[in-house]
Amino acid sequence: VPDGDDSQNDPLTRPLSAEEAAHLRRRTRFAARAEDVAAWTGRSWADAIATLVDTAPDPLVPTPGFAYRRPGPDEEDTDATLLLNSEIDRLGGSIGLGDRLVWFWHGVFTSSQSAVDQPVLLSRQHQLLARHSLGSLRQLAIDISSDPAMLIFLSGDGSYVDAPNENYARELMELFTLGRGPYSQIDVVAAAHVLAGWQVLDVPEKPGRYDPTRMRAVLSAESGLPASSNPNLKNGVAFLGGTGIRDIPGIVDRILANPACATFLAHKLCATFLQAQPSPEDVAAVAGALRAAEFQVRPALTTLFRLPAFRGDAALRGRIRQPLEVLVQTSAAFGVRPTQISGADYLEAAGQVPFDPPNVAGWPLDPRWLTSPQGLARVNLGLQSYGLAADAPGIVAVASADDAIGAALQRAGLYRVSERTVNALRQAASTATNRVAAARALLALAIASPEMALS
Amino acid sequence: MACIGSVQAQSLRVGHITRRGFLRVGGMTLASLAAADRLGWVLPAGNAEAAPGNPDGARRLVVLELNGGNDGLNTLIPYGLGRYYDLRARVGLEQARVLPLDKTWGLHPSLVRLHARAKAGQVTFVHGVGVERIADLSHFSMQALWRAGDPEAAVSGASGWAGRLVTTLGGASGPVGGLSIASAPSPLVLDADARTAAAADAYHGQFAFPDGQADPLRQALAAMAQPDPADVPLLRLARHGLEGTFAIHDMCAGLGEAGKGYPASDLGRALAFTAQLLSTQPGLRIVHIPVPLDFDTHDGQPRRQAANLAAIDAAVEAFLTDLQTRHLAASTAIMATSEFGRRVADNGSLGTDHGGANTLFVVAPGLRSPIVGTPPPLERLDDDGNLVPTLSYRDYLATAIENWMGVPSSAVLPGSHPLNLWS
Repeated sequence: VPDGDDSQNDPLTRPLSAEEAAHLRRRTRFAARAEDVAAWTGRSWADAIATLVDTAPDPLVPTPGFAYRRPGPDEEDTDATLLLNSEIDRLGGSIGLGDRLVWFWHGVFTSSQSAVDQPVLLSRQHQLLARHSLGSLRQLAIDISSDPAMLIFLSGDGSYVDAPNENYARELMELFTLGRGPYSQIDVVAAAHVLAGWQVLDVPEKPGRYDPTRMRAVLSAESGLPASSNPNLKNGVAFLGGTGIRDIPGIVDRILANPACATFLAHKLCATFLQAQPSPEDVAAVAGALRAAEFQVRPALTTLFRLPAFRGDAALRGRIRQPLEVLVQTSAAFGVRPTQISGADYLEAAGQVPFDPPNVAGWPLDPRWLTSPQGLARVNLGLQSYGLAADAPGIVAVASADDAIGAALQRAGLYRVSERTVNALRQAASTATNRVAAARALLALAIASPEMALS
Repeated sequence: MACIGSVQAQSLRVGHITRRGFLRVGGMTLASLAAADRLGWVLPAGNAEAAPGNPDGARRLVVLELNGGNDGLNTLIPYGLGRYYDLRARVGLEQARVLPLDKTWGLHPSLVRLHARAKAGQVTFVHGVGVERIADLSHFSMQALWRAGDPEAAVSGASGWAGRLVTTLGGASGPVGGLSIASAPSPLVLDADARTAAAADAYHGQFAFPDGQADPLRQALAAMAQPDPADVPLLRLARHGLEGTFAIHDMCAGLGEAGKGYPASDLGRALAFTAQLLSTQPGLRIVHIPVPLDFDTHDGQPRRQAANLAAIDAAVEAFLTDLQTRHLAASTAIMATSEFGRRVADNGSLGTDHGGANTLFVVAPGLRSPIVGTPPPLERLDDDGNLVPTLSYRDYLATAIENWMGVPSSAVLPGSHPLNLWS
């Protein structure tokens, strides 16, 4: 929807300040690099959104070089470590909005390596999310309902049509698409029957090498086959106000047709990309865009980023940064890869390890990320600056800058910082014995600063 | 850090957040989280040097939260009832494997040590605990009810019952009174006036300052953590979060040696850490452990629940032995919670779906009976096929609050009725 015919009054034609450029980069990436902020400052909002959102490429998630080995009990989980480290280093590289959305969907339609115990299946689920991350939510919901990792994580693997378990059916509605309220226990049981019948083939029972291409989900006669083939269910089920529902697309379409679905997903998008407490009007605008675009993600995001609220003061520092974003911004500040600063250890201390959500609800969007244990973990991540080589890009940039404090804050993506925090950095720099030591202290404290906890 | 404490205690009064000023984010209140981060403000000097052991006999409570919904019916098993075997043809425990407590009821075979302790008056299993009017079978709505203990929000906004207990025990000042063993405090331990926090382990609970840099970095961090009247609410909370790091560091830096004999499991490590904390932090009265195991056994239950219960049995046994060595055994109780039990009839995946009333347990000295309460009849299930509670979850919680911790349960859970588990 155009913002108005009179382009001279269109606020989207206004040029970005450095702070606004950093804001837009942080929301469309995981972090704002000082050089990107410099390059984008002065371009118009409309131009920046068109480039960063409308023409953002679809992401491509590569398969890590797995050994395709199921680890034995006495072996370290080498494939799981490989998957985690390759993912965090990939996010620390040059990625776009699509990858930001892969992580978002990983937190919604989530699965856990500790439950699935097959890193290759988690990797393939990540690739599934990448295929649809900016595209069709309908297809994403359909495909993930027979995704092997999801089938194992939420008990779909071996859920028998004549006595299905309710695990995936309930969480699909409660946590992934609708939220509590619009469905009943009768709907859960009905959906469980239709969603049953799948089996993941060729998961090796024993440690050793295996062929990942043989691992796939099939509708299994042993598991009762799906509703359409089952004589007890040949007329389908009544579900969410519809009748004769007999397959996964039928279930997903009834869910998408429920008015609660677009609002539920729009709220998650707004709380993640707009601000911690989005207004009902802004959520309604994004929900409307989702429905109008038949649940295509990209047009809904364009609507979100063009909202006046996105340019408002409440959005600029109105969101709590999650640990993965803290890590990627820190790696950008230091100029090294996330794995070079013990990124996985930090994420574990903070409780946000990719592929290992705390439970089926993914990672919460709430103030827990501002509490003391989180602050302590962030301080210790910042202190990794003392382990960097003296010629690490971040150290060199800060040590050689005329304004070392400003350089450290900008490397950390911080363009509006309280006097209290700046004074603390000044105090620490004044006690340093040389410029490199000062650079280490300044970078550590910029990462530790309370401003870093917000985005 | 005593000097910081006194300065900041003054700012606390100036900038006190009232309960009316609660700002909700994602179901939690910012004011209650601010409370969780008040640690740096009033931490007394010399906290870590406190005498070991428990000279004043103050009682402590460890809450084991079995998230996902542990299957109580396969924990305390009605092995004497044929109806149990009718409904649990696939996941029922064979009579011969059950560890009997009487002619009808016995324990899961993984609970060998708890069985011995139950017969010695140190463990009580409580029948039929649940939420009276079940809104739905959601993990998250039921966990929220259990943690608040206050379905009508009559007491205090979104606070947790353990947070209110800490407030009642110690007021708004003094050392850390309640702790989650986790990377962030649970809503369970939060209250606007409670001095509660979280720490996952001793290593991650300490600053990793490089040699020779600790003093200037500590000073700079303390300066950044000072409350600033110009802060917007979220920045104010982020600053509080930084401030509390000092109290967590000081607590975790003075723990002494961990106890021996724990299993090499996440729960074993959490309980070993808990014993260290309890014996060095005299003001710490409530420790909440979200047990790092998955109890949501929709499939593969026989194998998974056996492993979960064996992990609890081994870790709790090591913890109780450790407490004995630290002279804390007489003053420490463990209470298990879990958001619901599981469906009585098993599903076709060798599992059980979300259920209703549950069997839970308390570990403490001097208990009068291994089993207490009225078992919900297997013949009269609710419309979804679940056990109907015979005891309110609030009455179960009130039992530990009033009859163990010695705090009138009306202060924390108005209208609740504690049981007497002790002779």
